[in-house]
Amino acid sequence: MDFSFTPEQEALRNDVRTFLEQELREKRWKPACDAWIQGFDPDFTTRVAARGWIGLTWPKEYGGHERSFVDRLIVTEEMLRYGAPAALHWFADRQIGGGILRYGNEEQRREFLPRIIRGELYVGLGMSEPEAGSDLASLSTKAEEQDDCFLVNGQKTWTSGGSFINYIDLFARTDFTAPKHKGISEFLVPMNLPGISRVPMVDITGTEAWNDVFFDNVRVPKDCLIGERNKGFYHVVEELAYERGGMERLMGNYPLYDGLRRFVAQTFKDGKPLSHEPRVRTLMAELEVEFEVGRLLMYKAASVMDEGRPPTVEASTSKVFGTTFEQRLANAAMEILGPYGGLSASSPHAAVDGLAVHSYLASKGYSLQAGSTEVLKGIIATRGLGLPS
Amino acid sequence: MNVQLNETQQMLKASAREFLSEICPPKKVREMRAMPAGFSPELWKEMGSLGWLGLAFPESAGGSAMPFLDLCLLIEELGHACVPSPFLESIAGAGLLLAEAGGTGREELLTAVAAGGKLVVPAFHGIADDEGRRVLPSMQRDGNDYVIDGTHLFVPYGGYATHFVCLATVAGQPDDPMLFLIPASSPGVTVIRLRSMRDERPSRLELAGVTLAADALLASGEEVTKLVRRALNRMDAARCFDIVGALSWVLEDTVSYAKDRKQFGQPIGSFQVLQHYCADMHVMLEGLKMAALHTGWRLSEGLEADREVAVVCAYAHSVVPRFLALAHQIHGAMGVTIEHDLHLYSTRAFAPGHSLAPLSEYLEAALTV
Repeated sequence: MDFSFTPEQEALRNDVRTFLEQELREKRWKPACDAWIQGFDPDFTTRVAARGWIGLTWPKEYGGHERSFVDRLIVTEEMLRYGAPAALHWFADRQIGGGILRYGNEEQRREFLPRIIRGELYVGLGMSEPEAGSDLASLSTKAEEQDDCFLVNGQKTWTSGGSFINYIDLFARTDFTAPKHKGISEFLVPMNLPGISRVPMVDITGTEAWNDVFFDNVRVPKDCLIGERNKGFYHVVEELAYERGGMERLMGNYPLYDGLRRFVAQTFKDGKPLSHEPRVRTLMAELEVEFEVGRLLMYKAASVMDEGRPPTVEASTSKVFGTTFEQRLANAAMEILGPYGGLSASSPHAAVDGLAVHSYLASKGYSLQAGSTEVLKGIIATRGLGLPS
Repeated sequence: MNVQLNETQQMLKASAREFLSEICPPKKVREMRAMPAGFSPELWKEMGSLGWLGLAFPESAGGSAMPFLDLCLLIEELGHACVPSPFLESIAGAGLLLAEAGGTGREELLTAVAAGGKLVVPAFHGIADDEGRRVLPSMQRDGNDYVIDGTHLFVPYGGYATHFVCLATVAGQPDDPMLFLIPASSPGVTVIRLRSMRDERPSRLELAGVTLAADALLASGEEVTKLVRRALNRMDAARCFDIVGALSWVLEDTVSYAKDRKQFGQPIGSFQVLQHYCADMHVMLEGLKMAALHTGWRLSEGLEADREVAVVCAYAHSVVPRFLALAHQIHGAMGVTIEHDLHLYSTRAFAPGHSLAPLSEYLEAALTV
C-alpha cells in the first residue's frame, strides 16, 4: 500500500505542468472545460506528441514508453487541470491504440501506433447510432463481406472528434443471423473513403463537437478489420472500461472548479469574501471532499489497468462518482455565481470566464455519454455484485 | 502508487475474519451487547493473547510494532463482525497516545493493556457550560501533587476502564492544557453510565478532588495539543475503517437478501431500481474505502494528515445515512425486525461526527479556500 508517487512520476507531472504553463504564457490556447473532447488543436497535439506523451503505456518497439497507466493518469490529470485542447489525440491514446495492441495484427500495430504517437491520427468512435445508444449490441450499420472489401452502409451518430477525424473506429454488423452481440466486427476506417460523409451535430452548449457520419456503399478494405470477424462486441466491451476509467470524468471541468475557488475567495459581498458565507463554505467544502474521494477512485481504476485487466467495475464506479461530482459542481457554480453565472464568455461582467454556462449545459450529458449512469449501475450490480441480470 | 494490501495485511485480515466469524457471529454480538461491560472480557483477553491489542504497540511494551495501517485493517474486520469492544477508543486512541507520550512506568501499563488485563480509555470531551462552551476539568497544584476537578461526558466504556487518559487545563487558564493518566480506582473518581443505543457504553466521568502524584502527568502545553490531535486523528481514521467493515457486511447481506427474496415471481435483486440502489451502495463504499486507506496510510507513514482525516470523516458523514437507508429499503420489513441482524449494523456504523466532532468541523478542515 503506497499512495506516494515515485521520483520519476513526480518528474513527469512536473514536466507536463512546466510545458502547459509555458504554453499558457505564450497564449497558445485558453483553458477550457471539456477541452479533452472538444478542444481540437492539431498543433497542440503535435507539440504533445513531440514530448512523447501520447502512447505512454505502449511497447517501445512501436514508439511507446512502456510506462504505467498510473503514469498516463498523471499526464492526463495535468492536461485536464490546465484545460488543455487535447481532444484530437485523446481517444486514440486512451482506448483505440490499446485495442489495436490487443486485437490488431502486427501490420496494424506497426502502421497505426507510431502514427498515433506522432499525433497524426485523429480517431473518432463509430459506435452509437440513432437506434442504438445504450443498446449498442442492436446496432445495424452493415458491413457485408465481398471478395475484396467489406461493403458498409449505415449511419453513426455522436461520433466524437467533430470534423477533424481522419479515422473512425467503426463497429458494424457482419453476421446477420447470429445473436446480435455475436455478429459485430470492429474496423479502423480512413475517413477519406468514397461514400463517407458527415454532418455536424450541435449540442445544447452550441458546440459542434460531434458528427453524424453516413456510410453509403463504402468499400472498406479487408485489412481494416481489427481482430476476428464477429468478435467486435467483445472488444468494445473491454474498450469501454478504458474509456470510462479516466480522470476526465472528474476533472473535465477543472477550470471551472479552480475558477470558482478563486472567485469565492476574491469576490466580496457586504464587505466580506463570499467564502465567508456559511452556505458557500459548506458547498465548497462538500465539493472538495467529493473531489478528493473521486481522485482516489480514478487512481484505483488506473491501478487495475496496471494489473493487466480492464477495470470494468472500477471504471463504472469511478465514472458514476465523477459525473455526479461534475453535475454538482455545475449546479454549485450557478448557485454561487448568481446571475453572473449565466453570462457567457463574450459578455461584459461574465464571471469565471463564462465557464459555468458551458458546464451547466454540458453536464446534462455526462451521465449519459460513454455509458449512462443507469447502465453503469447495472454493470456494478451484475458484474460487480453478482445480482441476477 | 499501489493500492494493494501486502501479504502480511492480507493474512491479518483473513485470519481475523475467520476467527471472528466463528467466535463472534451476530448471535454472539447480541449476547456481548447485553453483557454488563457491553463487551466480552473473555474475548478481550483472547484478543490480547492473539496479539491484536498490542499489534501497534512498541515491542518494549509487549507489542508487535506493526504499522498503524495494519491496526486499521484489523479494526475493519472488527467492524465487519460488529464486535462490541473498546478496541478503537482504547487501543487506537488511548493506547497509542500512551505509547507516544512515553514516561516512567508506561511500558508496564501498556504491556498489561496489550494482554487485556488493563483498560485505558480517553476522556477528552469535557462538558458544555450554559453558553455551550466546552469546559474541561481543571488542575491545581498541591505541593508536588496534582488535584483534578471536573467532568467529562462521553467517556467510552468508562465503567470498565482501569485508567483514563484525561484532558484537563490549569485552573483558570483554559488555554493551558494538561494530560493526565488517572487510575479509575483513585478516590474522587465517579463514573455514571449513560443509556445509549450505541456500543461504546458512554459514561459521565466525575472527578472531585482527585489527587495524583507527579508521575501521572503525561504532557503539558503544546505537547498536549499535538498528542490529543494525533489521537483524535487515529480514532477518526480507525472509525472510518470500522465503518467500512460494517458497511461491507451490510452490502454483502443486502445483495444476498436481494438474490433470495422473491416477489412477483422473481428475485427482487433482478429489479432495476434495487440493482441501482446496490450499485449506489457499492460506489459509496468504494469511495469511503479508498479515502480511509489513503488516510490510514498517511498516518502510518507519520505524514501530516489533518485534511485527509477531515475528508474521509466528512465523506463518511455524507454516505453512512444514505447507505443504511438503502440497505433498509431493500430489506423491506425484515430489516426492521429485531430478529434480523441488520439493525446491529445500523446501530454500529455512526460516522465520526456523531462521536466526537460535528460535521461542520470536518468540512472546515477539508476546505482549502
